[in-house]
Amino acid sequence: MKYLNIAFYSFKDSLISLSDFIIMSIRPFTILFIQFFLFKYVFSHEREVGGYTFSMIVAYIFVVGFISTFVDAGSFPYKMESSYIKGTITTELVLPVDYYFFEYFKNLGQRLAFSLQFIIANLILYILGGIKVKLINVLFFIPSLFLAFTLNFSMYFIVGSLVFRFVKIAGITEVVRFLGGLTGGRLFPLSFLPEVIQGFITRLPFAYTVYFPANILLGKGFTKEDIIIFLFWTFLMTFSSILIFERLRETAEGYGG
Amino acid sequence: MRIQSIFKVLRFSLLDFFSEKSNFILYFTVIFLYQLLYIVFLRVIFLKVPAIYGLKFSEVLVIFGIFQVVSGLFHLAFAYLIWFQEKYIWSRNLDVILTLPSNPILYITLKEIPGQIMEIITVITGIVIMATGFVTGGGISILGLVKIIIATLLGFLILSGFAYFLVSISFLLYGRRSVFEAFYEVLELGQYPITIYPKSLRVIFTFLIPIGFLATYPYLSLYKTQMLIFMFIASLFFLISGYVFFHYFLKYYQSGG
Amino acid sequence: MTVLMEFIKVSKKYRKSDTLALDGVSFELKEKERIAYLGPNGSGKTTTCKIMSTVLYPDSGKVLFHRQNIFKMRKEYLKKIGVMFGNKTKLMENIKLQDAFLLLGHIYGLPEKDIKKKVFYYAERLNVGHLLDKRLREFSLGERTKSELIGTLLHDPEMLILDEPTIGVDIISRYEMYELLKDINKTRGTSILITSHNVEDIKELAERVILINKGKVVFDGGFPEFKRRFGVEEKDVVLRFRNYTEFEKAKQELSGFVKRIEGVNLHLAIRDEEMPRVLNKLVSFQDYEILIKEKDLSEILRRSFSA
Repeated sequence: MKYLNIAFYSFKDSLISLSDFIIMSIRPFTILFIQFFLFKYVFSHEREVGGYTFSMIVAYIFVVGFISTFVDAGSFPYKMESSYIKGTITTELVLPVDYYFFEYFKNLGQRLAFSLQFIIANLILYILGGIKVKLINVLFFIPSLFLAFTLNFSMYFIVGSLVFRFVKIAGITEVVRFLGGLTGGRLFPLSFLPEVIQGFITRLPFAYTVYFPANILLGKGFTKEDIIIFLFWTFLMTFSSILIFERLRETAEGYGG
Repeated sequence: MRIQSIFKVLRFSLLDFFSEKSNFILYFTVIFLYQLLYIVFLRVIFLKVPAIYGLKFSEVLVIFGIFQVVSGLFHLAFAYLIWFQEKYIWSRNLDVILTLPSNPILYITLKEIPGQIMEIITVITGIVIMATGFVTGGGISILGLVKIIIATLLGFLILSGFAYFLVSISFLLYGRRSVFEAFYEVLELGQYPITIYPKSLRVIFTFLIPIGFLATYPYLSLYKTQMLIFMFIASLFFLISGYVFFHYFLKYYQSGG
Repeated sequence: MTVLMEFIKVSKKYRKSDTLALDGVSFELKEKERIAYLGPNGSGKTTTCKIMSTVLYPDSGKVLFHRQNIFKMRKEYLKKIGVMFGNKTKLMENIKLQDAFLLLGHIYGLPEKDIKKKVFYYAERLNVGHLLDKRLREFSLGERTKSELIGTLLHDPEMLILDEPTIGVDIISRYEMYELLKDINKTRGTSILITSHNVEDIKELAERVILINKGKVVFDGGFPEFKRRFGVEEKDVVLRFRNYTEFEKAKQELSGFVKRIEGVNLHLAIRDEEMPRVLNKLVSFQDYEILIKEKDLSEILRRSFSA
């Protein structure tokens, strides 16, 4: 219950002022815009690419826009770094909560606020008939979205925990973000890649943070093997992130002043 | 502080930035990975089509490189638009600057550059990407090189003229920092050839927001001398009208108190 | 009085700077006690507070609370203590203060009704009742600090750890905080451990003083003894004369208190209990200005340790 409260107030905390919020909401759409017109050109030559038609790819970029914004935790290590250097993290460490879950639900509320515009955009597209989804797919999609959120958050939580050892972690954060951007399916469906590369990349954890849930929603189907690997990565990352955090915080020295 | 002494500060900040190895490596990593991500995206698109509106991969790469150079220079010189209101208008620091015997925008620009010095890396990597594009595309003549350098600089001048407009708008839009943040985001639309957008958008990106001048038009002027002339005229237009606009609103600011 | 918290031979070394921040520190904190934990800059004060609040882990030694190791029962322990770091906040900044308190209360598992009742009570006492509908990011430093104190008190902690709580806070707000803290200590028996550079904080709140230097406890005793040993109760008084004969007269009559003479300025060091006697004498002089300075604690400690 208390963790849901954290998510709720963090959601409110993120909606600072309405006008700023609306303008900020426009920002993630620029990349969507580029994707749309590039793919439009591609599909004016090919009827189907990587198992997608043009209308499917349009649905894909909107859905992926939502998922990747919702599960994003790339700013978490930066928050850790600055609050560690300034020492403000101490005020959170003295709360009687599990830090992982505290930050998890804070991030959840925040991401929900930041992805509102995508939820609206997707609903509009659905009403206009741009996205065709079956109820059964939605039922599978919702748990997979939360698993994806957990998996992605846990990975960045591990990176954030490194602050106790290395203090400056922006470099490694950027590398992880890059890998996520490249292999997550944010810019294009991974099925666009040559098969050898595809077989490898779709087994990496990042593929399960964006590409996989999107495919579930869009009814692309999945295998038992996919589910097992998805669960494997999520459990592995979550447990190791909690373990690594506790281990490293014991060795912490600084906390600013 | 006189303009000359600002140049000295600039030199030192540049030396300082390049001598601080860890900072340099960090920014390099961030910028390099970000650019790499969008080049990979482009490569994947070109796996499916041989050319985009007649442009080969190597040509689009050159455009992408020019975009990095121009937007790098633009951020280097005008990133302060985001905090211009808080730092210069609300605090009335601008009043002090207006008493100095130099162009206020030039003065502020030079003063703000040291804080954005890392954008130099964007410019350098942009040049490397351009060069890669030219080499893989079969080389470039000396005349072509001269043309592209002039066109790139003209692109930067056009955007500088536009920056005058934006500074002027700052006098009207109180407390709308996010408007400017959104604007920087919109500029990203110019990183790929603007020929991918429909005609109506291309008109907007030429005459309203000079997104086309970021990269596409400088590249096209390599083949069409008229384009170079067009860019020259456009730069005069944007610079002069920006200047007039700015001084009109400056009077408004000075009389408004 | 029963022992609440024990520090047993606690050491902590910072490998990066190769400094021994704490070198076998031992002390006890009893129920209802009010301790000032003092030392010059870099003496290990904040390290102690951070270990005590389980933010930092010691290299060796034990920290017990009700005879249990605090690191083995972190969550239950944190529910029983209240920690406040000066100039830092655990409240969310962009939501209404009231909501920020509600969230904090929920984190400590308090029912909503209780939270509201307490927030209202404390907000009235600290004069921030009118701010409950506003957001923390709009507050002054004094208002922030008082809000933070309310947040620290919401769950009725058994022990308060206050690390430089009044840093940068105006005098009126400080006194409001002292009154509330003393009240809570008296009525609810809450123990307090406070670190500060401000003599007033210590004078108002401390019964006992623990002094630490270079990671070692160098003094542990009652506040009166601490005052005597370190001259805390002395005030620096400067008399600036405009008349030379008056200056000469004062120089002779106050000779016992004169510390230094600069031109026609007399610098005096006067203990609190002697103040009335000196004031009586001052009445007989004419043509002078008087300047009374409260001593800065860190200055006193620095001087006594460098001597």
